[in-house]
Amino acid sequence: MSEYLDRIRQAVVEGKHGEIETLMTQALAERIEVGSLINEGLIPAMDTVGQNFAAGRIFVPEMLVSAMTMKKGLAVLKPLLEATPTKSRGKVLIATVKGDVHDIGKNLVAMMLEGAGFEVIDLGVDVPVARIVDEVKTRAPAILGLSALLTTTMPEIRVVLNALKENGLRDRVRVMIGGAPVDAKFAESVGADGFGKDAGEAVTLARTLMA
Amino acid sequence: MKGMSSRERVVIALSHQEPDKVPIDIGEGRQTSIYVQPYVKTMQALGFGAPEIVASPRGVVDRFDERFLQKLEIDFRRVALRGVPEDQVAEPDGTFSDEWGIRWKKVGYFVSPVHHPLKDATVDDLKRYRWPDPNDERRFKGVREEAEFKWKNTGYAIVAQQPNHTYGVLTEAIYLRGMENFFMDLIINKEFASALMAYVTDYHVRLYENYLDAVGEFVNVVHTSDDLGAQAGPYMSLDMYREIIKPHERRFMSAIKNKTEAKILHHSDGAITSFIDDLIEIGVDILNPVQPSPEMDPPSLKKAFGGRISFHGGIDQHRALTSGTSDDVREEVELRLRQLAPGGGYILASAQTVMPEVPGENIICMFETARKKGCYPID
Repeated sequence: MSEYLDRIRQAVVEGKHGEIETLMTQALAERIEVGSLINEGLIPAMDTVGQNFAAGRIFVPEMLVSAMTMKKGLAVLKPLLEATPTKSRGKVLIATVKGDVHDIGKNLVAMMLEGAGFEVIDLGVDVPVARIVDEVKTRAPAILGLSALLTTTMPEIRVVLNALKENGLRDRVRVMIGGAPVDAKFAESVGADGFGKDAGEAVTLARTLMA
Repeated sequence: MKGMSSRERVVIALSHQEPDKVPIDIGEGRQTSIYVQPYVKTMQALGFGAPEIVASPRGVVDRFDERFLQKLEIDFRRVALRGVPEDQVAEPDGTFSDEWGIRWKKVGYFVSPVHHPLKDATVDDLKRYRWPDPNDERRFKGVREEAEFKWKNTGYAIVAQQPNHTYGVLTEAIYLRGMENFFMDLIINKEFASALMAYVTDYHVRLYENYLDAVGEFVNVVHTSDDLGAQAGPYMSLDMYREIIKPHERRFMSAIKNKTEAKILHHSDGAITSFIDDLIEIGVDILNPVQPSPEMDPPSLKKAFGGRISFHGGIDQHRALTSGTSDDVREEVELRLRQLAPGGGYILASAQTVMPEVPGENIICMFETARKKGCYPID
């Protein structure tokens, strides 16, 4: 069994997107459990991908192909997941704030969180504060992730946090933030629950916030 | 004794020798320049009143009032190709499209592509695609005359400004294909990635060849750009750059070198220190914007590459200029002069576009300090 898990992990880490579906099907035929394939296969593989990216061993293209490979593998398991639902690690809402359309960082974070077993709802870019508040109200996520790539849009993060407070929602959700100009000092000053400097840190942080 | 002209100053600096003073530029063009709001504030603070506004779609100043340039003692003047209506065609949904077929939306202070026309294309589709026309005569009307006039009648260093929508062989490919799709192409569909960049390079090469046929003998600097990364670092490994992207960039740079003796001023976002040797090899003479960071540390850059490439930019806008006092601004300028100016090969300019919230007084202080403290030898 461990041989299959090894090969699945290797396929994701190396971005072998052409092999992953066959590997998954074979592993299932060998009666390896869906839960194992996810928790001991796909999720640790994406952790490795995140570490490789943070360490500068791989770059954005490799990260995207690994994420695509993971998604392809997950797609094979999806019909079975619906039959025997595995508990999601938690629901995460993620958005790039109003005035900002940068999204590749946010998209990488979303992919990594999905790979780590979170349910991710991506609100997109240039998202007005009213919509974020509304979605927090209706979807009741455990975590809200906010991205701002410009020093001019960073203040919008503060606006969102204040709006959550005014609407009595601040206590109901953990807020984590990221983006090139964002740092721990800024996170503290706006009252966020944490900040991550890259997609790998975002996953670690999300797990910590859920613990 | 006759003083040195701006042009002499710039030519000496770009030959990696120390002229009388560090040359000063307002920015490199649309990527690192100044937004309309702080430009207007500065004009007013200088007592010149409200200026005529000629700006790019995202609100960055495209043409400067001559009094502004003289008062700040800018050593450069620019020539540019003419725009055509097809550069910016308004669409009913509030976006605008360009000649590549890319659609853009203005969001806040930036303009971003929201429609990538080649996102699902195959290599065959590229053969049939309607590429923009690099021979469009409207772009070149009066350009040679303007360049010749500025060359022969002023003592400034003349720059051939980057034409509209020539963001670079990689960057335009990304806009056409979509960032995620293109980055994945670099691994899973290299044939497409390279074919797309080849077509994009064809346009850049042909347009710049026409441009330099017109102005090549009348300019000191030619401006190009291509973003190889973001603040955290390069988008791709050096190996991948060398294998797939560099050949196209090399072809483009070589085409420019074949038409002019002017120096190539190349803008690239990102902490791309590991790529600089390769950029030097393909013909980049001046690197912009030199945004100071741990990964792009000015003293390390000067040590590793000084004498082989010139630096344009270096004055950080995020901290001192945006929220600092005059003393903070002076300190920032003096620090970068000490780090980058010795030995020549440095043109002082802002390291990011000057944002709307920067006070006019800080901008004036930046350029005054640059002039006052920029005399060689730098202490």
